[in-house]
Amino acid sequence: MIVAFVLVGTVWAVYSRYFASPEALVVYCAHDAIFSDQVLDRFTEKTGIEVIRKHDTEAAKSLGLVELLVREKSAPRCDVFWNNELLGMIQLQEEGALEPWKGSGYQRIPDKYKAASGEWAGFGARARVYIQNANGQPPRDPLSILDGSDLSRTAIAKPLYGTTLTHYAALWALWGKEATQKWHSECREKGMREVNGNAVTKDLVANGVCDLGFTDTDDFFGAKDAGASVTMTPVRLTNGATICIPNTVAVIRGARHREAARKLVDFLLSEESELALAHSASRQIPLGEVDPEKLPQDVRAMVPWLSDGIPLGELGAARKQCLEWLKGLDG
Amino acid sequence: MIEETLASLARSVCVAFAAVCFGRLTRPVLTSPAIAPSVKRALFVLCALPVFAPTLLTGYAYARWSLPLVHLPLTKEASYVLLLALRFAPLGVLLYWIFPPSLADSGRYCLQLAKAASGLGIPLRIRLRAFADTPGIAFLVTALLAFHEFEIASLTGVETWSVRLFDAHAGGVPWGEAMSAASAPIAVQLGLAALCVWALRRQLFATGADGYTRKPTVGRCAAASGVTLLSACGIVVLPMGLIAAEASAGMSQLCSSFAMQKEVLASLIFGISGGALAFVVSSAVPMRCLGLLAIPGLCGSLILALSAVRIFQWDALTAVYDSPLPLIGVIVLLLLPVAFLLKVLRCKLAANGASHVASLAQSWSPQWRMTGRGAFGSIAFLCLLAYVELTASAILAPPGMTTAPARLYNLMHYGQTEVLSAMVMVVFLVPIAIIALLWAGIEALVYRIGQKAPLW
Repeated sequence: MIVAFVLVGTVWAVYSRYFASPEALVVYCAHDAIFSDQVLDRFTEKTGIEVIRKHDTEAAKSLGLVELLVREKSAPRCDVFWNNELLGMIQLQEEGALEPWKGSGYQRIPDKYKAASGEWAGFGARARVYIQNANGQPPRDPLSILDGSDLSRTAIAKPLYGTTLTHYAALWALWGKEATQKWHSECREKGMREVNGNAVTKDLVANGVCDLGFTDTDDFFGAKDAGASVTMTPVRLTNGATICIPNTVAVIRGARHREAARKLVDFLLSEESELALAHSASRQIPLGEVDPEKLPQDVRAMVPWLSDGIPLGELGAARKQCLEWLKGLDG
Repeated sequence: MIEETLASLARSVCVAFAAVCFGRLTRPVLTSPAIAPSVKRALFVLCALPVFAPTLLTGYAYARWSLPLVHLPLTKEASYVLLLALRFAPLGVLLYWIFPPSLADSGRYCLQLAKAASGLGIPLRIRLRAFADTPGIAFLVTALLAFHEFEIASLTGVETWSVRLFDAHAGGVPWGEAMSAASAPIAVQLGLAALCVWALRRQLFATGADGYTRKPTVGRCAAASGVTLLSACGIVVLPMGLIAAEASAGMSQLCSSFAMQKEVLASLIFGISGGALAFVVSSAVPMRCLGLLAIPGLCGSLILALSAVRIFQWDALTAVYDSPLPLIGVIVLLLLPVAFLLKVLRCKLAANGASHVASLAQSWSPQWRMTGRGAFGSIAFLCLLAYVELTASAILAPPGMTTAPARLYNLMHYGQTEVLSAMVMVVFLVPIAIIALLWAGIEALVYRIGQKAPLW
């Protein structure tokens, strides 16, 4: 018994001393650790404010943290939520879990990508794209491939989570319930592979197992940087709109370190952070005004897609209905 | 989740059947006095390797190979069942060895003779006792472990109920909704776990008879060795080889930018505390109660961790919710079944005259050899298992204390790279190196004390 108490006491002491300083800012971060860590480290370097991070699993991101924040609403532990998409943030806004903050960062973000009431703001976006295995050939028109009768060499992530859910919500809002359900079942009937996440889709195409897949720009660049012979084209909805999914950030209502939280939000929404994300391996597209000369070539090519982006802020209801239907399908 | 539950059940029955066959095949080789002790030791170690190798390594190594199988679902399914069988069938051998049949081979032969001579049927209770105890344990334990396997399935893209439940939790499905959807597999798991404990307790207090006096045939020896080698190669040697081959190219890059010190430290903290606590609890609690304490651990890390999430969100426990305690508690519960087996093994090995003489001797050296090594090995082994625990740590690690396996699992999401393979190698070699150094240090210390030489 004594040994057990000594062991637990030692672990608690080490945890309190080295892992959980009470002054440290607690950030729940749905953006991939390998990209977000450098930005958060830079914030600590600049301000001296220590940041404790809680990341979600990369396979099914963000919604797990949203659910956790809803559960913790009465006694929040998190100060800042850095989400890698928007719809979960809207859910938290509706739950009253966010605190408005219109600091310097908020001012530089276009209205389309922030809450008018100041609860959240977007930054550094990625886009939904078709990834194709070039194999030395020029890429084919993705729509002509999808119109074919055999889709067994195409892949998409399960639509229950992540950006594929956002994609489905956009289709639901644009086409309506029946057309979306019809498209979904036709794709399955023609043999489209439904896999566990965008990264698996990317791997299938990059390794030549599939010819075409739906994924995000960050996954595409992951494959490209690894030397795969892949190309991408933006997913355009039938009205010509692209699907650009920004990171979003918010101060949590009742945050224990409110001032430090606001500083971090301003930092994340600053030009410096957006440029850092643009230069990272994930090549995020800045939403605020930045000098185009400072952007890498890959990102500069994607900037025009932003202006065609579907207004994601209006998809809340569609996402809810679509998710209910998908859950029913999934049993 | 009914479909996935049935599929997992079918897989686990296949795996359990393979484990029983393999156990029956190999036990005579492991227990016969006609086989050299060194051969038996080597066979035993080779059997233990795949059972306790980190599944994260196996899953990672085979992840790339599993990609083309997306077009061949049956082959994919068969490959997964083969991997499960290679991993868990050797456990059947270990269980046959730890829990030998209640009746010696000679006794069973007599029973068969008596039945033939008298023409009377033998009561079912006695028949079960004589022929089904050990196979029953091997069947139930391996079926249970195969039923809730998660890591290999997740990394090789196989759709199991455990993968779906984990994804549902990580994907934000409310706890109650996710757990009620998984009620069927949870019920199966609880049932199997309760049966396991019942069977283990029965066998624990039976007087075992492991003498196998006949010399096993050459064919049996060859088959047992062949399957053991196949299993060790498929689950440990080949995956490690694949990863090491890739890691060698990424090692130089990793050396200049290794950024996982904090995660490794967190894993070491959870590993040492969880492993040592499990050992302390298993040593302190009587064997009879330990069986019941092992039930939660037998339910697997996913169910246990998800239950802990819920429990520690109750108002009375919120103070420790964001601390390392929930994870340590879950790790201890998870390790208790293994600690229980190790305790049985230690008791079995210690129950001989030499151990008793060693305990009477007023010298460290024989005591260390007879009992200390076993205790150290048990603690080290439990710490190692706690260190590599992925599922519970991915769900329960407090903010800022992400463990190395959880971080690696997240990085594996981006696909295999040379640097990641190097990271995987380093992360898994750290605890092994620490244990090896400690072992060597203690051996040297005991030797010096035995020789009455100066310590330094």
